[in-house]
Amino acid sequence: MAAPSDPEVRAFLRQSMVALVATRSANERPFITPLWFVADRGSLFITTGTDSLTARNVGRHPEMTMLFSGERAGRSDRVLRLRCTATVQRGLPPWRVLLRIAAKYYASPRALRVELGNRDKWRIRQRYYQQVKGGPGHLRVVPTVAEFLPQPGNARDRVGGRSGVR
Amino acid sequence: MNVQARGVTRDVDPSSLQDLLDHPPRATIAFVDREHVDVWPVRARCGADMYRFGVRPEVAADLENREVVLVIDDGPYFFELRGISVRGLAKRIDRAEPGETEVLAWYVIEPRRILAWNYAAMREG
Repeated sequence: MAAPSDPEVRAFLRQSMVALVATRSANERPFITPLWFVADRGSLFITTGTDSLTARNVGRHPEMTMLFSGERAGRSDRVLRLRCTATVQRGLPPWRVLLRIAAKYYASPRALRVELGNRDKWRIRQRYYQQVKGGPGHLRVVPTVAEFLPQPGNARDRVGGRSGVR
Repeated sequence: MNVQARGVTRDVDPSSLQDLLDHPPRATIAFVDREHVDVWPVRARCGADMYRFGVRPEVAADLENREVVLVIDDGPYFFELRGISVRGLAKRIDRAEPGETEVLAWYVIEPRRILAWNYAAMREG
């Protein structure tokens, strides 16, 4: 176990792009989905519709668990699991957080290459975003417990590149 | 991410993600354990409508007959995001997967719901 504020934990979060976010539904069923996140002032922020399944689950059960793989650093033999408490907020996150999202997912050199290569889909993406269920919202997530877990073989081999493991 | 599509959808047929299933870049399992939702990284093997996963036995709870959700996903940037989610009951497999060198506890999922998405394939639904 480690404290969420541990420098090793914070460094691993900086190396991670996607969080696997697991929540519990009102009828006690598991749900998990990959989501973008950014860290800001000790919290993690995730944009999502206020009526998305993740947001509805958090509204009922604020405890959630997240898994990070540190994919920016390439291969890793471990993942980071955070146990957290989350709250659903209406509207977009603070501008600071929006800037972090833009820098991380849209404006990095590789992100720009992906964006420009798919510029013919920008309009349909805009329509997709306009469909957001319940209107724009975000989760403010406060980590409570951090733990590094060993990564089983194929995922470890494939993070950051294809290994050909079958 | 995580918007519910009506007019525009990124949902695809799982068979269109065969390369992802053949070579899972990242595989994660979620389940509810004593009123907490838990997640573990797993090793996934998929093929012929069979979804199997292996967890390290010393770190995982017994998942026999539990409802689990397996997510195999890829891609950090918007138009690279794709994945598959398999919800179902986990059943223990006694034998090890062929070619495996790591000792893992293997399960097969009896699927109840399978979803697949590919943001590069976004289109009017």
